[in-house]
Amino acid sequence: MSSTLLHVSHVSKSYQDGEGKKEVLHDVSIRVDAGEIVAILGPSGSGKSTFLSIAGMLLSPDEGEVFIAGDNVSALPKSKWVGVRKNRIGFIFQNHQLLPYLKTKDQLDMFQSKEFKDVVNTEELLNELDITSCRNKYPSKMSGGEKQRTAIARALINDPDIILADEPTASLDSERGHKAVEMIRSAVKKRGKAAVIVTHDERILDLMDRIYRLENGRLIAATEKEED
Amino acid sequence: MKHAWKELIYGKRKYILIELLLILLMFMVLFLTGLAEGLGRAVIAGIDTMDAEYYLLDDSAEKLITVSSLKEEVYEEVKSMTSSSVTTLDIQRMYLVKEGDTEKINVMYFAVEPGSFVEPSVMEGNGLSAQGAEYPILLDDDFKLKGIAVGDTVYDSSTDLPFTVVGFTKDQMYGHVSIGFISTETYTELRTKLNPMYQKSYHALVIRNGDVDKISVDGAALVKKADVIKNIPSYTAEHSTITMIVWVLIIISAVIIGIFHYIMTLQKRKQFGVMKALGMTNGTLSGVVVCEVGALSIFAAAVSLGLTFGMAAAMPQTMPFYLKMSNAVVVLAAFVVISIFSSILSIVNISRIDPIIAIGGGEE
Repeated sequence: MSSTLLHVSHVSKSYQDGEGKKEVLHDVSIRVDAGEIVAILGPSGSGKSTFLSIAGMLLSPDEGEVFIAGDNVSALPKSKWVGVRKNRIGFIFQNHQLLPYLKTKDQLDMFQSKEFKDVVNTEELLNELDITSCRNKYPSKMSGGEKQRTAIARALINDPDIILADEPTASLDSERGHKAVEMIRSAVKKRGKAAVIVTHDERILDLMDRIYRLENGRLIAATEKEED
Repeated sequence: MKHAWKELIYGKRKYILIELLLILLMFMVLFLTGLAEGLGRAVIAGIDTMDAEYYLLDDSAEKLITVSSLKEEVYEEVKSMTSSSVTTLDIQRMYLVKEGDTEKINVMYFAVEPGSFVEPSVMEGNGLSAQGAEYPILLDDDFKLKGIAVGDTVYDSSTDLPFTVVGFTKDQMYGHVSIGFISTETYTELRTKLNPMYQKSYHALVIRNGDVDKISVDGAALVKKADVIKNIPSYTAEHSTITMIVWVLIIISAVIIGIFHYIMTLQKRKQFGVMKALGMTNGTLSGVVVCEVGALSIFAAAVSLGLTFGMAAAMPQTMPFYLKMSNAVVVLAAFVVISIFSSILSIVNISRIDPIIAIGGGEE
């Protein structure tokens, strides 16, 4: 029995491109249930970033709606988006995007909302992601894998409904990349969250529950992993 | 705020350089303020430090002590009218010559009644009431630099009247000339030597405390001390020019600081984009910037204050440097406020950053 945490419904988005219009997303729909991790593959320019921006409340769709845990968040005024991002969405960016001047512990504390201080224990999170040793380190003193795991911890700090990851393995070698995504997967499974990973890294697809491809603005379901 | 503090600590090398720049700018402004004030003091100190409220000057004097003239009787008349303290003042510019020397030294005689409230406090030696000297003179300590000491005899260059230096006072100048205080008696003698027809009169009556409103003399008017100062020739013009220069400097320096912070904001666009994507509001981010600018400028203000007063203490006496703590604080507070105000430029820029730049490789 699982509930849908992310529901992107019939979303279209086009950009002005010189004379004409370029449709980046065409009638894209996807449902991701609690405890599910899905990948969206596609070549660069296929609209992956646009999809992630719309799902992540950074961009409004021309048409269609976005639901997070059943709430129609795309209907909210733009001024409320920042709150939705803070408390309901966990972002993992390409190249970690940690703040260079904060130690790992502070990276987490600085972004944790007050109401989640009792819900999510920072120390446990560090332990779970195996970065307790980085607790008092600046990003410049950490390995690529440690940095990305810190970024994963940061994404989980406000117990969000959904995790959105933008090329999380881009700056990592295949072993470390795989480990990072394994950690996202186990965190999602353990907490019953929904995760969408936008990537072109085929080496992590074995960790996905479902795989989609974005081609010419259309989302096509690729091989569905068999549950055993 | 914690966030701002952590960023400052992490980027200490960069921020120390900025801090240095801030300190130098503030120091420059403070130092110039001190010099400007000092220059102004050289014109007005003699009157400004006088413990007086009003000056009685004749109507035709245009509020200028040196061209005013009051008959001798007026003094008695005024004294009988009021319970205020009243005394006399004459100002005359002349030259002094040291014994056995020919060099003329500028002096501004302030002729006062010995022991009256306009006689300044003595720093060294005695006041004008000192026994034993026929013609006592109390000099500003600038004269020490000319090699004059207590007990020396100095001569008035045009009358050869021999003064005995009974003591020194300090910070006493008028119209850029150092003051020598002499008694009214000595002054009358001096004038009589210059002009045997001299009729005793006073430039001004100086009044303090009590019921000044009872004083009314035909052909003379009470002028407030501040008004007298304003009307000292060239003072207002000089002072407003210099004040203007100082304020323009304050504003320009603060704007430079604003631009500095703006450039730093531009460099951190992606960082701000990420922070916004992660749910930090414009308000929070603006708070961080204001805290950083505030902390940097307040710290710089404190350091430059210490530096300025340290420097002032080490400076030779001839430098016309005068800075009241209250003035310094006003200048620095203005500096801090304008700096913070100019960081609005950065805040506007931050509020315009679209957090979407956090997604994708994008601009770095």
